[in-house]
Parts: sequence; C-alpha cells; structure tokens
Amino acid sequence: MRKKVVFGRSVLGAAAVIAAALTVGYAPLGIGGETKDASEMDMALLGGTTTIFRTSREAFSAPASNLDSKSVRTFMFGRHLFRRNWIIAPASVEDLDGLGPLFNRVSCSGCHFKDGRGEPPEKQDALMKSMLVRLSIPGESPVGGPNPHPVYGDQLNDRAILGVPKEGRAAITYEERAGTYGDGTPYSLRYPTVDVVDLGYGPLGDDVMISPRVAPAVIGMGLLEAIPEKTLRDLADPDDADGDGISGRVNMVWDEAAQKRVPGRLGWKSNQPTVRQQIAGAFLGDMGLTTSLFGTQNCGETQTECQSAPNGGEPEVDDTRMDALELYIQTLAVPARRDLDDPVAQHGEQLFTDIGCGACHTPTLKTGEHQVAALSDQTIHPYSDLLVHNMGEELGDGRPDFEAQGDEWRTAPLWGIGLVPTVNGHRYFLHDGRARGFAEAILWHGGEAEKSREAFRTLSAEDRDALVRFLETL
Amino acid sequence: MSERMKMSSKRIGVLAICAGLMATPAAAADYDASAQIDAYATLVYTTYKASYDEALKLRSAIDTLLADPTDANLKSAKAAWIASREPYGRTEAFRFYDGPIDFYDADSGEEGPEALLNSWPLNEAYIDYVEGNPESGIIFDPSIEITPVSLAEDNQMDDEADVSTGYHAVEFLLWGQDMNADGPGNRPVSDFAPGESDNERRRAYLEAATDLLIQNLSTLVDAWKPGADNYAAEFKAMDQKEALQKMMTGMATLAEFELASERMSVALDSGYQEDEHSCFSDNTHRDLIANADSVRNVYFADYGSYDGAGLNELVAEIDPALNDKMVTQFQATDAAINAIPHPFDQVLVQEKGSADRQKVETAISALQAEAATIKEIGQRLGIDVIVVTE
Repeated sequence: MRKKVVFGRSVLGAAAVIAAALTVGYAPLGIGGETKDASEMDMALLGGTTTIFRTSREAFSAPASNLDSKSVRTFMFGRHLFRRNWIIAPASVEDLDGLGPLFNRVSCSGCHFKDGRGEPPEKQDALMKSMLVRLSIPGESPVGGPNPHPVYGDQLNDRAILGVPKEGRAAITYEERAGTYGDGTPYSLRYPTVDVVDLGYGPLGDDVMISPRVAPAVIGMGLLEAIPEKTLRDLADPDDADGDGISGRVNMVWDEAAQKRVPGRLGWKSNQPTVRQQIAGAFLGDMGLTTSLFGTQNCGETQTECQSAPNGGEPEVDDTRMDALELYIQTLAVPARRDLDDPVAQHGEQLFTDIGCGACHTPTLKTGEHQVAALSDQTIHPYSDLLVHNMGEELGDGRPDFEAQGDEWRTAPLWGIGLVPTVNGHRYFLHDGRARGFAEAILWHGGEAEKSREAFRTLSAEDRDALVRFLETL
Repeated sequence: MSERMKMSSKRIGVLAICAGLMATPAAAADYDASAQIDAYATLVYTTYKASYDEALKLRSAIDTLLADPTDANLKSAKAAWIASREPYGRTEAFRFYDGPIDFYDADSGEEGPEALLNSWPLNEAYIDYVEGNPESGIIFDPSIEITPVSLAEDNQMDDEADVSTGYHAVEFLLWGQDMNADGPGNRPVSDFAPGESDNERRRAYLEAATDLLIQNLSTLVDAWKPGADNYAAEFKAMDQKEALQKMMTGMATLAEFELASERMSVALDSGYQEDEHSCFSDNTHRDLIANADSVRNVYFADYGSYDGAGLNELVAEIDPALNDKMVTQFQATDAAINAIPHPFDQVLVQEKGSADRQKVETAISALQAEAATIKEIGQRLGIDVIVVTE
C-alpha cells in the first residue's frame, strides 16, 4: 500500500517557531494571549533580525531576512559560485578554470554541502569528502602561523589534476573505549588515529603535526565577524583572574589584507580573522585557486609537476567573484530556534546554564558596525565566545595554530546545530567528527570544560536527555 | 521604518499562516474560491499528464536511436527532448509549497522527485567523459551499477552539482558538452554504437535515466489524478486559504526567485556562456518562456485545451483594477521574455550594459513586478504569499 505522505511541512513549518512563541505568552504587536516578555521571543531570533524561519534541508541556505534586494542579487550570484565546479585550466569556460594543480574538492559546496557541516568518511579506505587534514612542522611561519611542511605545505591535498601526483590520502582508524555515566549507564567513545598513506612526494618525516578538520557549517559568519574586538577582549580571561577555572584567550592571527596581527574569530582554532581571508584561504588550500589575497600557488619545494602546471589566470578568481562570495558567506542566515515552549528543552536550557556550559558557549553577544548594514548592531545568540580554550589532551591535535596551542580549540558556535541532522543527514560533531551525537560531543570535553563534562556525566538520564533536547532546538 | 518594526510586521505575516489565518486583515474580502481550487487541481493534472506523455515519446525516440544509432535518429531524439521540455516547464509553478513534486518528510526521509527530474547545473564529468578527461564519470566506472534505482541513489549525494538524473542528464547524454561558442553540444552518434563497454554503459544510462524520468512523472500524474484518493483530493479538501496560499506561493516563487533570480540574473551576473538552464541544447530561451507561462497558467487555469475557472475571475469580482493590473503585467512579462534573443548563452557573454542584456533585465523587472502583484492579490484574499528561496 502506498504510504501516506504528510505534505505542507516547510511552508507552514516556517511558522512553527512563532506558534511556539505564542504559546509561551509572547505575542507580536499584542495579538493573541497575554504579553509576557519579549526577551523569550528574542532568544528564538538566534541571528537577531537577520534570522530566517526555515526548518527544511535548505535551512542553512537562505540570505539574512533583512538583506536589501540589491544585496540579495549579489548573494544569489555568490551562492551560484559556491556551488559551481571549478575546472582544470586551460578550458573553454575561462572564468571557471584554474582548479589545482593540487586540491581537495572542486567546489565549495563539495565540502560545505547545503552550506552545512561535513563528516568523516564512513569507510577507512574512502577519500575524505567534506574533511581535510592540516599539516605543519615545528616552528612558525614568517607571519607567526603554523610552519608549513617544506614539501606538502600546510594541508594534505588528496586530489590533483591529470599529470600531477596526489599528495596522499588520510585514513582514520578508531578505537572504542568504554565509559560509564554516573547512573551506571555505559557509553563508548571512539578515539581516532589519523595516518597519511599513499604518499606522492616521499615521507612526511617524524616531526610532522597532523590536524584533521571537518568542514563547518557556514551560517552566521558575518555576524561573528561583526562582533567588536573589545567584546572579545572583555570575554577573555587568559590568566583566569576570576578563578572559575576557565581561561579563554583571544588567538591573535595574521590578517593578510591589513598586514598585521588581529583577533582570530573563524575556523576551528579561531585561526582566521575575516570571512574574506577564510574564503581566499579555502580557495588556495582546498581547490588550488589563487586570488588577489593569496596569489601564489601552493606547490612545495620538490613538487615540480605542480610548479609547471598551467594556471587559469592571475589571479584565477577575480575580485568581483570574491566580493560576491564574501557577501554570500557573510549573510547566510541563522535559522530561528524552535520549540521554545517544550518544557523538556526549557529544563535542558536551565541545566546548560547550571553546569557551566554557558561560561564558554556564551548565549548572547552584540554586533558592532559592519560593512554590511544588515549585520550591524544585532543582538545574537551564537552560544560561543570565539575564544580558544584548553579542551584537554584527548581532544587536542598537538598542532599549534598562531597562539592557539595543540590542546586549545575555539568554542564552537552552537546556533543551527540542532538542524545539522536535517540539513546534512548526520550527527557527527567536534572538529574531526569523532562524536556520534550530542552526548558524545559533551563527553569529549576536557581541560577547562572538565568540570562541566563531569557534571553532565553524573546527571540523571532524564536530565542528560533534556540538555540534548535543548541543543536540538538550537 | 526601523528594522525592529519590519521584523514585527514580518512576524505577523508568518503568524497569520501558521495559526490558520486567525487574524484576517481588514482589507481581505469574503469569497468562495472552490471553483478556482478545483480548476487548479485539474490544471496541475493536465500539465503533468502532458509532460508524462511527451516523456513517453522521448523514450520511444531513444529506443529508435539505440536500435539504430544514426544521425537522423539522434536528431529525432533531440527533437523529442525539446518537445518534452515544453509541458514540463509549465509545471514549475506547482513547486515550492511542499506538494507532491518537492515535499520532504524529515522523519521518513521521503521526498518529492523534483531534484531527480530537473536539477542543474550538472557536473558533466560526474556522468561521462569531458574534454580533458576522456574516462570520467559513472559511465567509465564499471563498479557503479546503472539502473534507475542506482542513478537515483547517486543523485546529488555529495555535491549539489553531482547530478546523475533528470532532463538535464538526458540532455547531456544526447548533446554532449557544449564547447561551441555559437551552437549547442555536438556529441557524435558513434557514442551510442553498441559493442564497446563504455558505449554499452552510455546506452544503458540513457535508457535508465529516461525510465526514471517517466517513473517520476507518473507518480506526479497519480498524485493529481481526479477522482482518486490522492493529494489532489487532500488539496481540494483543504481550507480554501491554505490551498490558495500554496497556489500563489508557487507562482510568486517561480516568478521572483527561480526564474528572475536563479535562471536569469545569476546567469547574467556570472557571464559564463554555459551558466544557463539547458546549456547543452541551447534551449534555455524556451525554458524561460515555459516557466513564465507556468505562472500565468495558474492565474488563468489554462493549459492547452483546458480552460478552467481562473483566479482572474475571482480577483475581477473582488478588485477589478487589481485583476487588470495583473493581466497587464502578464502581458508585459510575456513580451519581455519573448524578446530575449536566443541562444541565451550569446547574451551572457556580452559586455555589461549591452542592448540584449538590457532585454533580459527588462524581463527580470517584469517578473519581479508580477510577483509583487501576486503578493498584493494575496493580501486582498487574506493570504500571506511568501517567496521561498531554496
């Protein structure tokens, strides 16, 4: 028998948040029940007035709801570029060529599928599809960043154009280790080990440092860029002066356009200062495409085929296209929070605060002025302080990135995280996707977060579920 | 108006839909749209049925081509493909409201067949050889099974551009890459000669992709067939405003987002010759006309010999001036779209500000104006019409 299908989800679903907000007593312009507190509704607007109401698989793909129509047109062009495949030079479509010589994927959306979150390969011998491996050796680059491997550079490129050897392939193996919740319920965490195999240019050497990283969702990035530097400095507590055991630090990184060190905000270690530099870095590192910001192809010392391969123009991606992509990533909207009236989620939110998660996953921040007016002066709820924190040796990658140490990571923003299963069809979390679900992700928290982790571990099953339920509403 | 105020009015709009239109705006009129809703269901059925029938003809032309791969038979198959696009392009206003074509059920993972039917742009190299890569894609990878089911499973698995199915996959197989500045793709008919392994796989691919197209169109025909226990029955039983909201959301979204933005302004801004909807066949100008017709057809409940009770009749009763405005705008769009030179890809490579580019801009503006009036009509009917961007 034909299965009866429920229609009407997305058009009406967009309004579910409002319906939920109504039932907790908030009524826009006083229609409906009693007017309680506008702040409850505002907590649903994770991206302030940029917030969009969408719970479908396209939840991460909409422009900020307050964006003007001229900018929306640019956004749409940027989106097109984000999803376009770049091709090998020389090609008949000149504007799209220049891929490689070495690369990881042929489009931005190859890793950031539906503008969402990547995942580790399911099979050990499969190529990474939405994940990559950073490389470096001890020491610092001239601008204070990771010291690239002399041959392989700062990223393993597991694909290459015809006639150029690939650099190799990263293979992850996992070891399960058992643990127990406070109430005796067992759990298991998978400990990853990354090996680089099929090396194309000789051994990596004993001192190489390897950091696997999945592609993050790319929503709300312009809002994070718009948070004033002073806010970050005020949040930081490098010497733990307040004695709460948490010492968030600003990671000062190199800004190539400004030619100076500025606070990092983006990337798994807050290792990128701006959306534009992040994009230019990804073009070069992930797709082998040069821009006006990074104009030199990243071929290593002995990678002669790479050095002599034809290029697709200088730069390969012009500034008009960079401008469109920059606006696109800056204004990809954060979807509204859902189910604010769910008492379980409300309880979970209280626990989130009580056990100290919010000390780093800062619920509310304000943006300052931004070149995109729609992003300025917004009250937002990223659930992040953008600072790097010691997360313990087990979660660490042992690879410094500017001032972030091997066991330090940026507090990951949690907005939109509850929609990852809908958009990307998986629940793999943390920088390398090792966590299979929200609970495992929390259980991996160590270092400064150990106290909160232990509090979570010793909660009742009901309370643990409530906290996870809260995360699912973000 | 402050940002905060804008947000508040937006919330009200969204609220009105979700709460079953509990707060009817003062301007909204009383009316009975049952005739329009019934006619819409018949229109949708009629247009999908025409698409299905043309797809069967395409399949038959492809059978002939594969039985006897000659230039003449390849030409006939291409003509059948172009003919099949005419009705399908006129179904696209039936998207964007989670109906049979593009619903998604997050719990079961079930979804409508839109992505399997009409995804673009496609990554040619994911399917078959391309210039510079003579052995690329599924056709040259014998480890991948070629059946309608396996192709559907491979569609857009890792990348939006990794399209393995639908009209544009069939188009690519028939025409090949368009490497010509002034004409469509020109795949040699010898690509379909039986015997060689890759040719056999290409032949199987063409059959499987066409069969899948037919299967998917068939489910849409069934979903809208009159007198059955199907979506059409559910649709007719809906609250009138809910049904009207779906109809008009589809119209406004096709006009303003999918057509004006995705298929026209993005292509113009990009300026790549092959950034067009039907890039292998250079048939994009027909896609544009069919899509514009699709919006208008919903308004008039008109397709081919079918002429039902249109929204025009309803609006003319409530607000004749608004109906006149809508009708005039449809005429303006029609003129503007038909004035776009073809092949469309020749316009894309022209300098900014060229006369031909301006013709496309005029059509974009006409479609935006059309969408604005559709929203205005929605207000008069007490409905919030949302343009959905995917």
